[in-house]
This record gives sequence, structure tokens and C-alpha cells, in this order.
Amino acid sequence: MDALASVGAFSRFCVRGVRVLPRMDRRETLDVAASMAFGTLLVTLAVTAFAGAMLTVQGFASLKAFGTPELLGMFISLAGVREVFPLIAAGCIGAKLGSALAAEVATLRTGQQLDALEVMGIEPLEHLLMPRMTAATLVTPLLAGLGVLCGLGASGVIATLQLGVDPGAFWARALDSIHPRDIAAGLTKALAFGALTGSLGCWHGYTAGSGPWAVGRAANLTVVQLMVVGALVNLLLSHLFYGGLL
Amino acid sequence: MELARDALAALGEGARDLCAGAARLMLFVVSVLRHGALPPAGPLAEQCWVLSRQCVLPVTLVVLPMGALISLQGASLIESFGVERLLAPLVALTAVRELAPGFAAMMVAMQAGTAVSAEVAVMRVREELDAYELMAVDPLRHVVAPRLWAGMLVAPLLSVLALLWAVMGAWAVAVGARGFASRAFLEGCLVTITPWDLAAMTIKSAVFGLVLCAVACFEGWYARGGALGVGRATNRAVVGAILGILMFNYVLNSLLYGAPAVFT
Amino acid sequence: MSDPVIELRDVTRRFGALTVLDGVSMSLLRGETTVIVGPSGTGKSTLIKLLVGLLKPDAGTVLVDGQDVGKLGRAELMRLRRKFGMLFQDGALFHGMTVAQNVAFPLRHHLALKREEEERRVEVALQQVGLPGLGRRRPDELSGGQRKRVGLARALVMEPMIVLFDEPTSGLDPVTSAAIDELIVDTRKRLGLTFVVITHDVQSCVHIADRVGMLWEGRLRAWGPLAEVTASTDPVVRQFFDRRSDGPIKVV
Ligand SMILES: Nc1ncnc2c1ncn2[C@@H]1O[C@H](COP(=O)(O)OP(=O)(O)OP(=O)(O)O)[C@@H](O)[C@H]1O
Ligand SMILES: [Mg+2]
Repeated sequence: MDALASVGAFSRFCVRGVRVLPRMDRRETLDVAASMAFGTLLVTLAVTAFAGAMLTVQGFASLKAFGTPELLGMFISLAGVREVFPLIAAGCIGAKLGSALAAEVATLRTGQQLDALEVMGIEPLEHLLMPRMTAATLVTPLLAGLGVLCGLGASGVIATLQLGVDPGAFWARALDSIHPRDIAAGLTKALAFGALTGSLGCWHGYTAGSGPWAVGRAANLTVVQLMVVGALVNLLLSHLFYGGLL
Repeated sequence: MELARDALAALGEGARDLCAGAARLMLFVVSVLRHGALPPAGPLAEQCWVLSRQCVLPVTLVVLPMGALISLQGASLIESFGVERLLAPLVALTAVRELAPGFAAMMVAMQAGTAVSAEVAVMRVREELDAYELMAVDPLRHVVAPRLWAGMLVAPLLSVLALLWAVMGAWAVAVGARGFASRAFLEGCLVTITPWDLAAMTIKSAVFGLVLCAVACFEGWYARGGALGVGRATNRAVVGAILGILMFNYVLNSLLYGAPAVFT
Repeated sequence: MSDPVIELRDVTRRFGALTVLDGVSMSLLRGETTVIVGPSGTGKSTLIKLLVGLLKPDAGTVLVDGQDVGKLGRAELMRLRRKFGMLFQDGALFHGMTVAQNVAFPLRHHLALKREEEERRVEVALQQVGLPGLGRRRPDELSGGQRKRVGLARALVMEPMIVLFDEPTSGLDPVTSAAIDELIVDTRKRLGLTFVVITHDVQSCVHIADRVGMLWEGRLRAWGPLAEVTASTDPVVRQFFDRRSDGPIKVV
């Protein structure tokens, strides 16, 4: 019952957010987006590079067992570009941005700065929250895209330099197996995930209680709910794009 | 041009922070082990209980759809190769090698990264840790060590749970949506997973659990400056935890499943 | 000089099962300093939040300059709030900005001023609170008393009609407290604004108040000009103003 009530309140919060979109502070949005992008770039690239290396080594071992190691490129595209890289990139971006957002807004709540904004007649939704939600929504696909490229690149490096796969064959198979649909699916997922990150982070920060405890709790609720809802949304979107679930 | 320079600077700064952070983390873990290798039983049991209670539901909710997803995408991959009987082994291997330890660790990372680091950070900024020291009770032994051990003990249990859920999720899609035979699928999974795989999974997740909780406690331990500092600590802990999992995953995979070709 | 700016009529506010304010009525007069006192947890902060619409009353009405705060839409409420300045308990300064940026913040959002004009008004506001030239510092580099002064400068910079203070002297040493009291008295004399101050500092109340209200158990136990309230023989009021631990007020 409580859970339902909070879902309702969260939805109303999001609707209010969308309503003030025309009056949103654009400059703040760009500033926040830039700092989010720079702050998250390194960790995203590191994580996807490791994921690419890992997937390549494991995939190569499995394919060799089936006697078809030359299919590595195709495997990387189907498994990596379609699911693993975007998923890992989005998870990492979401965890970092979501916890940072929740902690930042919750700190403002705890220190009464949110109340101060309201008393000054400044709508926090327009000047603080929507810019952050929008920035997260825009930055996530961008970084996830870079992450996928980085994962693919790392796969190529490991496959050709470490596993001795012929570069020409690897890249031909890899690029052959990427459909525009994969890119559309990845972008949609990243957009959804980014929107979820921004809104959950802002919501839990906005509704945080007082004291330093509340800051940790807001970050905690944000990342846990983000992962749970994100996994479900990912499955549904995969079904929408590739079918086969029902 | 400006943008590229900013990006490069951010990258460089990040890399430097990362190395310095890793070194300080190592020192921290060493001093925890020196001062409190064996935590008191009460706090240890409590931390284990708290961590499992926080993680069981999220692990379930995240891993079920993930299991369904490998089944879904694996089926189309495998159908294009024309080797349908390999779906069960593919699912089972992915689950036991990567998905179960990985996602169990992921959820511990989210919980520990935020909850544990925030808890320790609050104790720091509220001067509770100083109070421990003044009362001559070593906080490394009574606060930090139980959390490290709890991570190491609980993560393997969670990975077993995650393995079950992953196979369940995959089975539901394979049988329900793709028309695979239920018995054959489950038997295929059972045959594929060897005791060695289970052992490797346990080792992997124990290491992950330890690393994650160490990062979380470390960030909390060095938190400064009120609510702001608590927020900063949780954030750094989440990022550190994710990086930690991936790096140790690479190292452990190389050790457990054979070194990558470059070393042989 | 004596028309009411703020009127509370039978205001009730609950948090779950707890009734924090139970039918409180009062009129605050233009140009006066009203001090609300009362033991911890009696709803002083709740009262001040009701005045600016951060909370809505469960029953009764809050009128500010003739407008019913509880019934306003968000946009109207935002407009009404420009009549208010508020000093928060810990200042509620933005830590990522300098002192000058903090003070300029409401100006920037509400008025499109020229740069020099903005800087001039910020400097004037900082001068009013006795901190000229500190604009480039960050909030972390200030003492508690200085942070409150900056908070007051930010509250005054929009030239509000009503200024609210939530415990302006709590957590400060007696000398700094006295200086803040002095500042409050002085500012009001100079600017002729309406001040509402919440405090449980008896000395500070006596120093700055024109009119005093004492909240106890959700009701307005005493209400009137300063001299009248301090001379009251009500045991609750006496206990509070004489700072005794024995009496009807129980410490929980
Ligand atoms: N958001 C809230 N939810 C639930 N209870 C609340 C909330 N805000 C305040 N209260 C309760 O209402 C009562 C009055 O709180 P309030 O903050 O107004 O007291 P106060 O008079 O300002 O006390 P102090 O002098 O200690 O600041 C307290 O018992 C408090 O626990
Ligand atoms: Mg209060």
C-alpha cells in the first residue's frame, strides 16, 4: 500500500517536472550535463573496456570449443554490442550519476537550501531538478554510445593482438552483424535508463529527510531501485525490439 | 578543441586519482587486517544479516529478468547457428561464470557502496568513530572488520541464489516462449555446471564481496564535512566498487579459467 | 502603521497522529518585530513554514497581505514569496557558490539587473550585515555567526516586506548572539520591515521583541506586547522566562 502510494507520488512528481519543461533553466542544464559527462567518461570507458576484453576471452574459448573461432566478430556484435556493453555502460553511468544526484539534492534538502529556494520564490523544479533530470537523460545515451564503441574497440584489440584472430575477418564479421535496429535499441534503452536515473535520483533527494543519514539513504534507494527497474525495462525493450518473449 | 582538452584533463585527473586511491585502499585493508583480523561475533552476525536482508530481494528482481534476457538473446543467437541443444549449456555457463557472481556482486556493490559507506561516513562526521577510540574500543575491529567479513560471507550465498534465479528466468523464457523441452533444458543446465564451476563462482564472489565492502568502508572512514561529505563518500564508493568488480573479474577469470593466451 | 500583514485564523496542523498546532490565531502587525518562543518541539518551525506555504494548514487560514496562503497555486505562491526574506537556522547557504554569488542569487533569478547594479546591491546588503568585502569567500570559510549574517544579507537583498528568522542566535556564543540581536534591532529600525523571529533564547527575545507569542502544547499560551507577556503570572510563561526546570513544562 505504502509502495503504491510512493509510486503515485513519484509519478506526480515526474508529471510536474515535464510540465515545467518549457520554463526549465537551460544554461544550468548544459552546465550540469557537461560536468556529468566529464565526470563519468573515464569510469564508463574503463568499465566497458574491461567488459569487452572479458567477453572476447570467454567468447573465444566457447567458440573454439564448438570449432568455430572465426565467428568471434559476429559473437561480439550480437552479445556485446546488443546487450552486454550498453547494459554495463548504462548500469555504471546510472549508479554513478544516480547516487551523485540523490546525494547532492538530499544534501540541499538537509541543509534547508531547497526550502531557501522556495522562500526566495524560485521553483526548485525549474532551476535545480529538471535541469538535472534532463541532463542525465541526455548524457546517458551519449556516454553509453561511447562505451559501446570502447567495448567493441577493446574486443578488437584483444581478439587481434592477444588471441591472434585475423583483423580483417574479425571486423568484417563484427560490422556485418550490427543492424541499425541494434543502434536504435541501444539508444532507446539508454534514454530510458537516463530518464530513470535522473528522475529517481532527484525524487529521492527531494523527498529525503534531515540529517546526514538521509543523504546515504537517498543514494541507496536510488541505485537499488534503478538497478531493479532498469533490469525489467531492459528486458521489455529487448522484447519490443527483437521480439520472442511471448 | 577546448572540449577535447577538458576531456583529456578529466581523464588524466581521474587516472591519477584512481592510482592514488588504490594505494591508500591497500594500506587501509592492511591496517584493518592488522588491528582486527577476527571481528567480534555479535557485530559480524548482525552485519551478515543486514546485508543479506538488503540484498536478497534486489538480487532476485534483477537476476530474473537477466536470466530471461540471456535465454531470449541466446536463443536467437543459437538458432542462427542451428544448434538448439546448446541453449541450456550456454545459459548455465553464462550464469555460473559471469551472471550469478557478477550480479550478486553488483547488488552488494549498490547496497554496500551506498548503505555501508554512508553508515561509516555518518559515524565519522558525527564523531562516533572518535568516540570509539576514546573509549579504547578499536573501531577498525568493531566497525570495519565485521563489514568486510560480512561482505565476504554474504556475497557467495547471494551468488548461489542468483544462479538459481538466473536459471529459473532463462528456463521460463526457453520453455514458455521458445518451446524448449522443460526437462531437457534443466538437465542440460545441471550437466553443464561442474562442482569446479560452483567452487570458482564461490571464490569469485567472496573476493568481490570483500573488495566491495573494503572500498565502501574505506570511503566512509575518510569522509569529511557533514552531509556533503557523506554524499561524496557514497558516490566515490559506488564508482570504486564497480571498477573494483571489473578489475578483479578480469584477474580472477584469468586465474580460475586459465590465463589468457598472451601469458601461455 | 498598525494594519495586520499576517493573520492566522484557527490554524491547525498535524503530522500523522501528532497535532502540532491546534487552533492558533494571531495577527502580526506591519513594522513590528514579533517573537515566537516556546520549548523545543512545540511547533515553532512548523508555524514559520506555514507562513511561507512550505507547509499547508490542515484547518484554518493563513493570510499574508490579504492572500490565503493555503489556497494559492504554485505560481502565485512563488510570487507571494518575493515579499518574504528568510534566515534559516544554519543559513542554508549554497556551498558551491561564493558569498557574493549566494547573496546575488535571488536578484539574478528575479530581476534582470546590470552587472554593476547587481554588484552594488550585493555590497550594500553585505554592508548592512557588517560583512563588507567578504564577497569572495566561500561559506565553508566563514564562522557560524558570519554564515548567519550572509543568510540575512541574502534575505534582505530583494528588499522584502517581511523577514522571518528561524533561531537566529542558536549555536552562537553570547557575544555573537548579542551582536546578531543588535543587527536585528538595527536593521528593523533602519528599514522599517516586519520581522518574525523564532527563538528559545529568552534574553534575545527580551532584547528584540515588540510583541511576543508563546507556544505550548499546540496552543498560543501567551500573546501580547513584550512588557505584558514578561509580566505574566501564568506558571507556564513564568517557568520559561525564569528558566526553571520545575513547573508545568516537562522536559521529555
Ligand atoms: N515533517 C515532519 N513529519 C513529522 N513530524 C514532524 C515533521 N516536522 C516536525 N514534526 C514534529 O512536529 C513537532 C514540532 O516540530 P517543530 O520543528 O515545529 O518544533 P520546534 O518548536 O521548531 O522545535 P525546536 O525548537 O527544537 O526547533 C515535533 O514534535 C516534530 O517531531
Ligand atoms: Mg525549530
